[in-house]
Amino acid sequence: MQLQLSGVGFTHADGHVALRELHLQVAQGEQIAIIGPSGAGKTSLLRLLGCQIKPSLGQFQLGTQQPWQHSPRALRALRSRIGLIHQQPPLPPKQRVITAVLAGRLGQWSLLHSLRNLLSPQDRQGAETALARLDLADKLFQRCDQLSGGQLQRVGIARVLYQQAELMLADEPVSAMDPHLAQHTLRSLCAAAAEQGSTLLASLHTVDLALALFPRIIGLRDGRIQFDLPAQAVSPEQLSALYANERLASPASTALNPLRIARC
Amino acid sequence: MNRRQLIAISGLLVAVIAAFAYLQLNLAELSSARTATLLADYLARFWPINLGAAYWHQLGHATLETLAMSAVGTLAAALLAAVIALPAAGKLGPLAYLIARGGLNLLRAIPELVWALLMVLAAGLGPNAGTLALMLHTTGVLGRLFAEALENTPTTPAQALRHSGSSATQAFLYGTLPNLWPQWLAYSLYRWENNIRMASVLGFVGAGGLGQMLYVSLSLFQEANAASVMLCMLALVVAVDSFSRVLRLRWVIA
Repeated sequence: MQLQLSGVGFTHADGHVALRELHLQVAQGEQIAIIGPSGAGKTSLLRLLGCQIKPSLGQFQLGTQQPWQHSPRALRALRSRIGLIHQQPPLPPKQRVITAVLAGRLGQWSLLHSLRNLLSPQDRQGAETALARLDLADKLFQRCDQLSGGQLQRVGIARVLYQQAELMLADEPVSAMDPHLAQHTLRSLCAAAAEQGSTLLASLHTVDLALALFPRIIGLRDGRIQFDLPAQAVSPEQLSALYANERLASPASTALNPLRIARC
Repeated sequence: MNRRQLIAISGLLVAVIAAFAYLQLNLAELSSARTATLLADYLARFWPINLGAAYWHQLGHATLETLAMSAVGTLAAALLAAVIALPAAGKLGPLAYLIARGGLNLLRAIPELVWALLMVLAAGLGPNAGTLALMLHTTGVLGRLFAEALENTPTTPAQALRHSGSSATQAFLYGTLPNLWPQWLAYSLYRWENNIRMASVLGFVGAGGLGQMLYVSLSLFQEANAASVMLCMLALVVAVDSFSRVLRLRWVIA
């Protein structure tokens, strides 16, 4: 799925400006990492692309359509083609992993099929395949509250893989994993997206991971696109400018929270 | 002891004495030897309990009737409550909220016994009236508890599913219900335990089951029969309590 932003801005209800004057073109099947300091607007951008929030300014085009001119029904159909990977996957604690993964295709299912699937999972094979890519096939029948944070994040990814979303939007998808597992998981996600021909945008705090795995990098700061470059063209100076002051302003918080440090 | 406490205690004593005087309780008679003998005599008439096969056949029938009344009444109430909980939690707009809350308050405000009296008039003597009475009151209680559980369930899982294109119903089934139904089950089981005790009493106003047998035996001074009925009631309550304990351990706590 391709997408295009021209002059898009977003202002929260409380007047806080999260995104300003964004111009962006993404072709079908591209894989892009979004980096930038905390509060730069990465989550807002992903939510805007996922049709969760309506831009306050400018034009947003998804595929060939403008989603916010759709009827609610058409918007729902469009959303079923968008997969969202959350930093803290919102999965019901008492739900089994298999059901959580199969819920990815709810947008494509009839109510009757959803009910039948709730009583007894209809596509064990499909859920198992999606989980196996993330080395979680053995957790198929566990309950979500029995999993660790990193495992939950991978279940959230498996749900989107099963959904076969044409646009995958990942917000800090590997923040709860150790560096090795994070790299392995991101690699699987990128490979799966490439196989399905899906467009993938992921926000990441670990710059090295972004540079190593994604061909195109967008640096976001104060709601503006600071740079939009191929990975090999991103210079160390640009990176320090992107994160400048942030570490000076709050050295304590970076020290306390090693998983979220800007550079790893 | 300070002065204020002294005044409070003596005030309390005066109030107790005044209450006895007002009710004209005959304390002397209550503590006399003759009362003790009479009491012992009355209690002795409950023993030996009636173990006659024919009577126990009748008792078994009444026990099943009481069990069925409480089970059907609670189950129907839980189903109704689940339906009413949606508007009563404000999910279907403010008007539906007011109507649902008002209806639940009305159902809950009238006790089971009063409902039973009304239902005996409406549906005739027997277990039908008892079942309806339990169902009506329990719907009021469970509807409110269900609605409050629904209000307190996190909305993010359902929200996330909505953002991936599922309908409101699907999002409720996959995002909200998994967290919700163990609580709903726990509330229903608890009310069932209450209702089985209530079902044994409803018979006193003619709504069938063990209560009706107890009422008849006591009225006819057949204390041995009454003792058998009370034994059945005890067994029923213990059985239901342990059954719902097993269900709770399996589904709610685990």
